[in-house]
Amino acid sequence: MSNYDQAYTDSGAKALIRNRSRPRDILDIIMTGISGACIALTVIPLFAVLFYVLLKGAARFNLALFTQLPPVAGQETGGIASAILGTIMVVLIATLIAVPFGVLAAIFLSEFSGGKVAQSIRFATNVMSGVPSIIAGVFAYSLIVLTVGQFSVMAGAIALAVLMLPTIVRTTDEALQIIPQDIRAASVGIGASNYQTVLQVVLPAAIPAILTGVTLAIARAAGETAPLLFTVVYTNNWPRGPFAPTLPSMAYLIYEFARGFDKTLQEFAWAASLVLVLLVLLTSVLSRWASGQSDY
Amino acid sequence: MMDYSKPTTNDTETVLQAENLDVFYGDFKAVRGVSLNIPKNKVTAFIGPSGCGKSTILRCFNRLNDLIPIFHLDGKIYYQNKNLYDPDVDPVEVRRRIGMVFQKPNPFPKSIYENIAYGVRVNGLAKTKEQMDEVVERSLRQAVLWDEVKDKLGQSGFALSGGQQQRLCIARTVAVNPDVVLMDEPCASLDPISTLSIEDLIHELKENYTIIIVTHNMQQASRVADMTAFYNAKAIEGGKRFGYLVEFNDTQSIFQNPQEESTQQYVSGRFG
Repeated sequence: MSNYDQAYTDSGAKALIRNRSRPRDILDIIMTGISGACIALTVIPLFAVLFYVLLKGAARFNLALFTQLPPVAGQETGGIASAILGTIMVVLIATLIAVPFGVLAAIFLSEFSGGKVAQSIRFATNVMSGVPSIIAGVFAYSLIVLTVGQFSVMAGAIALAVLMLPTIVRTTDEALQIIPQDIRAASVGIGASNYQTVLQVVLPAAIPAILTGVTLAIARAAGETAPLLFTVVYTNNWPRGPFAPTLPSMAYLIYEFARGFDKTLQEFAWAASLVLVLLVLLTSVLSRWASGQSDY
Repeated sequence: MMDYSKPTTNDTETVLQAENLDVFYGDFKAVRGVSLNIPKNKVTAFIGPSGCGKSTILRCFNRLNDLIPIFHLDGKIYYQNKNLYDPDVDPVEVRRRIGMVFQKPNPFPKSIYENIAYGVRVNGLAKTKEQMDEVVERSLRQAVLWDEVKDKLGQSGFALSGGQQQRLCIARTVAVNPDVVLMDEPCASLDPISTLSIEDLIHELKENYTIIIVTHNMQQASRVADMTAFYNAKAIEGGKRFGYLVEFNDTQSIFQNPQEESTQQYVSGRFG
């Protein structure tokens, strides 16, 4: 061994050789193992739910599911068409209420207010987004149902809208904030007024991100049961318009059918669950697609 | 400090006249005592080190600083004998007459056609589709961009290169028929070739417009400007600095025979 080789192995270069027995390397391996296990624990329930719903729901997942009324006790065939339609109707009304209010509020928040006012409104929306859905139900019940003296789809839609609002305000606000100040200056700089700038430049640029927020809010509202418990009477029959006291809805149908003892009805509860899960999946995909359309 | 609000050249009329401008951010007087006359259909360059207030002054001319809540201004800016900061002046109309091109190309997130048409539409300058087409084409030709984009007017403005985007922004500015075009370091984010194309464009535009250009690049000032204003920053207690106008003259004098020592030092590259 030459002197050079001797020096090479003895000096600092020796420390370069991998050595897994030092405490920090052992800790490294343990921590990696623990995080990996946690990932598995987190993902297993998610996939278990999806798998189970798919497995149980598939039995009734056919054309009849989307075209026929739910079976009455003893009947073997049917669908959940009325519930799907009812859910679509009540969520649609809720969206029509929540989107204009939410988007306009966010425009004010992002474009026309500043400092303490904006901060406190943002804080309030954050608090509101954490409010349990049953509170929204009680709110709509005491404010509308008790005042009007009857249950109504409209009351349910308003309760859902209250739940959707914070999500819409927050995502729209964030979407508007992302639009560079440059673009506003450019618009104002060629002689556009503030409202022209907001409506014709800033808002269109933010629409993909706003759509993302709206679809997420819709997905949440579609699966909500608690607000409808307080505001409408469940029925298996077709929905009868926005002011009727009765409404078929998927979430409530699942609740009603799943806790009974009728095996057929339980199958329909699973099928409805599958439809809801697919709906959430669809909206997630849609919202991902929408946010991919953004220029910023 | 010298007063440059007296006519500096006799052969042209003045289009903008700043008189004793003080610019405040909150309580701090950030730019002090600026007076100068901007001659019509000439290119006036604002040069100076960072923080000397040249961009701030530029943005006073189209009231773009109004967007900053803590901004206010003392002094007067006359445009056609009207003080732009009089309470009865509509800043929106000011910005139509006095357009602006920004440091970073900032096309709208719209098609190339709509980038031009938007300003024309909000100002009600075209009544029919034909008129609009005409304005769009004329503006793009003025910005020497037409031949490059005429077959893809429907594409997004973002699809263009940086230099093309900046020419699109110039086209959008001239489309609303301004008197004055303010340019805030329009080539700062462009490569040398795009920079030259913008400079050529500036030469052509001064036939029809008065141009004020802020630039960090002294060669650029000497290439494009007829008049040059040199601003400097002065340090005061508390680590703050304020900007002021040092010297304003025709470009040749500023670069070859400056009257102030700091101008001499700056243009010869010894500081700043």
